[in-house]
Amino acid sequence: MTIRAFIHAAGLCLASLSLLSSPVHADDIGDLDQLSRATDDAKAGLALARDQIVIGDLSGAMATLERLMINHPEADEAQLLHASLLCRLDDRTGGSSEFSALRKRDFRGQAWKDANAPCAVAIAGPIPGQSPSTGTTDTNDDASKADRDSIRNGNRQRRPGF
Amino acid sequence: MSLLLSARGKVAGIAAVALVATLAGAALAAGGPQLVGIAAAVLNDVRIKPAAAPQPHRAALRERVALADQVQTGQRSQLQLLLLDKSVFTVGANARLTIDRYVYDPSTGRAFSATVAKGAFRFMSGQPDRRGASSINTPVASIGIRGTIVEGVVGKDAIEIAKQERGIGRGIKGDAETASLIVLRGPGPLTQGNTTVGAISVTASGQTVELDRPLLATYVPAAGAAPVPPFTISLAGLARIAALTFPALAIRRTSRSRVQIRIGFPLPGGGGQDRGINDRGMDGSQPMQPDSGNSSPTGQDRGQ
Repeated sequence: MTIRAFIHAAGLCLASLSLLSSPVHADDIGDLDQLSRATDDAKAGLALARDQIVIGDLSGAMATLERLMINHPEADEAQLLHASLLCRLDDRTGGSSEFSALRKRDFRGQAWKDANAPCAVAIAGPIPGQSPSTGTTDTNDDASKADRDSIRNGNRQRRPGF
Repeated sequence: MSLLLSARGKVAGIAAVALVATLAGAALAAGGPQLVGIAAAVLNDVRIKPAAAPQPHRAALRERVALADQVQTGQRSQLQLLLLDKSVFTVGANARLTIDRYVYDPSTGRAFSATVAKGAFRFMSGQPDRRGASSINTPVASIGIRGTIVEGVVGKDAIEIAKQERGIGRGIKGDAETASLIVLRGPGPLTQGNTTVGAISVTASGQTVELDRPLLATYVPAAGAAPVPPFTISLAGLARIAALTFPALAIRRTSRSRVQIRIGFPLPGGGGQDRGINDRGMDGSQPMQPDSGNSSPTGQDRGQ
């Protein structure tokens, strides 16, 4: 046992401390469990997502709704809210695409209208790829225009899945 | 003098033993492998192979996921991995994902790197990224992440989608194992709430392209190839990625349409190409349901 041994031990100490530099607290994991548990039930999950939206936690709400879409693919309201959220995150074309996969008659009129409101600009306005300032290669504008027209016309049969 | 040296040696020895004991205790308290999150949603056949385990085991709902665990999904299967910073990794059917590095401090943010070796994925940041500190790697590309929602597909499905995209030049041959299609989904510049505008940089073969607005995409067909210039993905392409990432939802929506439709690419789960879809699922089996065997909050044996 010498100073060399001490230095060796100190080296071990530093190495181990670096492993522990990202502490995991029970609360962190407990929070994740709670979030996951909330989506075991579709109604509870939807309520959580709405609460998250109210406090501005849009990414949290997206995560909640996507869990619902895995656990409860039959939960149409979750999909409607998800489509609306996409538009609020400024993925308006993606949101409009999701609306086109839903059926208006499955929802209350006001719910459909409210959910659609954030996407209205996308349906009426310019589409990505036509902005003159992007400087990117958008060679599929024709395809995008056809897609947009399809959304306007409510043609849902063209797209399987989403 | 010799007495003094001997005393110093003893002190050093005691200190060394104390240090090692402290470290051993700390390591035990830390509970072994570094936890990065939980399996927050599990559908059908999802397996996790811890780095030190010889074989994978079936994932349980809310099972703890650790650094270097290899996550693999089977046909018609899906996983949402909720990370400690509340970032979300979702993988679709026949996918393989590993979190290689993860550092999270609530006060300074999160840095991580992950590898998607195969399949469709969707990643959504839960916390601000330290600039340049987070990345998702595919076999042929590295995606640098900044406060982002990003989707991608690795493998033959990427090739199938790419073939239909006008933004990708004709005649590009992709590698069925490694071809990678990557799409930025947002948030865009007009985003609301607590989110920040997303952007990604995709690097392959020493060349980098920047994607800075929703639906911009790029494609790396094989090892040694550069990313194609950014293009806007079509809605059809977007729908295909979504169908791969959310297979249960895709099947429900398709079956609910109550029409037999023919699809031009294989849906997740190994359904045949140009195959009719009906209410009994892609292959005529029972409609897909979450695996009841995974519905109990078990698999938490890796501590808090």
